[in-house]
Parts: sequence; structure tokens; C-alpha cells
Amino acid sequence: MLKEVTCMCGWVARGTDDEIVEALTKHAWEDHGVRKTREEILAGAVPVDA
Amino acid sequence: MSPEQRPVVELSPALTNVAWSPELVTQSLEPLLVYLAGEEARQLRPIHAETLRIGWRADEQPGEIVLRAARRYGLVPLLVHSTSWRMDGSRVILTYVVAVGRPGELNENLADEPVLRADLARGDALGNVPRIAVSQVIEHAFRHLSWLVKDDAAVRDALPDWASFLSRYEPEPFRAFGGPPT
Repeated sequence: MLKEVTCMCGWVARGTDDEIVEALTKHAWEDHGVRKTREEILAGAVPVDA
Repeated sequence: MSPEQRPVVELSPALTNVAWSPELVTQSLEPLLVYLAGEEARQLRPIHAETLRIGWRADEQPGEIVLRAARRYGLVPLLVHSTSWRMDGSRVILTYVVAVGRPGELNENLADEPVLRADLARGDALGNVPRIAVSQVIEHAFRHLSWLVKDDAAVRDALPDWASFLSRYEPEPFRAFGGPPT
């Protein structure tokens, strides 16, 4: 399943879980100075109906 | 960790995470977070984008998504109103103006900027507008609210402090007569 993720800073990524993890890992480090694991990224994604 | 590598912010959970396909027409919500500061309006813009674009699941009310997003930033929504739509590439962007109370401590993911006047984006009678700037979307939203604050009791009650400011956005022919035609 393809997904779209929006960070609170406004950054948006679309793609598979793998693509989102890659993009968010890069974004988190380069734009926020934060390192995130794959598990943290996927666990931290909040479904809109939560 | 060197100073330049120190986290600017903790990366918060995503605002939305929704199914998406490049082969479908997709729709996004665009909350424009604005507040009144004295005699001027200010916009709260996400620091890494021109506007906030959030996914819209088909089984949710868009206004609820917008409200929830505003609250995630610690803001107090006063009014949410869908004000315009436009195409951005292959996606439909539904814009909500979200008037919020003046923020106390600003969320680190938001930039606080003045709202400046702009000419409206206009196309011809049958054609699309080639490009619409965010400033033009906000201009349209405030012109819309300037009418609603007089015509809609819910809007008037939600924005009692905004009437004077919004009167500047009334179309000039209406200004001369004190209000829109009935």
C-alpha cells in the first residue's frame, strides 16, 4: 500500500513504507537533526482516524 | 553531537498517514492558520512548507481533520471554514481558513508571518487560473469572511473581534452602501 505522510513542519512524503522510511530518515536528520529508526518512523505514524 | 547536529525539534508523530496512489485523483486539505494581532492578521505557516497539506481519508469529515491538526500545534480554533479549492498538479486542494486565538508559546514547527494584501487570481469565464499564490488564497479567504461575518451569525459570534479588520476586505462597491446587497 502506498501512503502519504505529513510532518508537523509541513514536509510531505508519499510512497511505500520503505520509501517513506528512507525519505523521513533523511528529512529527520537533515531538517531536524534527529535520527530515527525504521521502527520508530513506522510506529510514530499516526493514522488520521486514531 | 556537535552544535550543528543538535536537534532543533523532536520529530513529532506525523499529522496524517493515509493511503495514496499516483493513479488516483488525490485530495489534500490545506488549513490556513491565521490569528488577529491588534489591527493586523498573521499567518502561522509550517516551517518547511508554504502551507500545510494534510491527507484526507474518505471516511472522515474534513473539518474534523483540520480542527485536530490545529490543536496538535497547541492552537485554539475559533472558526474553521472551507473557503476555496484549486488544483495543484494532479491533486485537488481544499482550503480551510482556520481562525485561531492568539498563540501563547508558538509551536516550534510554525513560523509567524504577517498577512499581506494581494490581488485575486482571476481566470477567464471558462478557463483555469494558471497559477494561484498562497497570498491570493488568503486574500480570497478574508474577502469571503468579510461577507460571512455580516451575513452568518455563527461566524459573527465566533469572530467578534475580527469585524473591523475584515471590513477592509469588503469589495468597494459594497463598502459604499454599508453592506452586501440583499
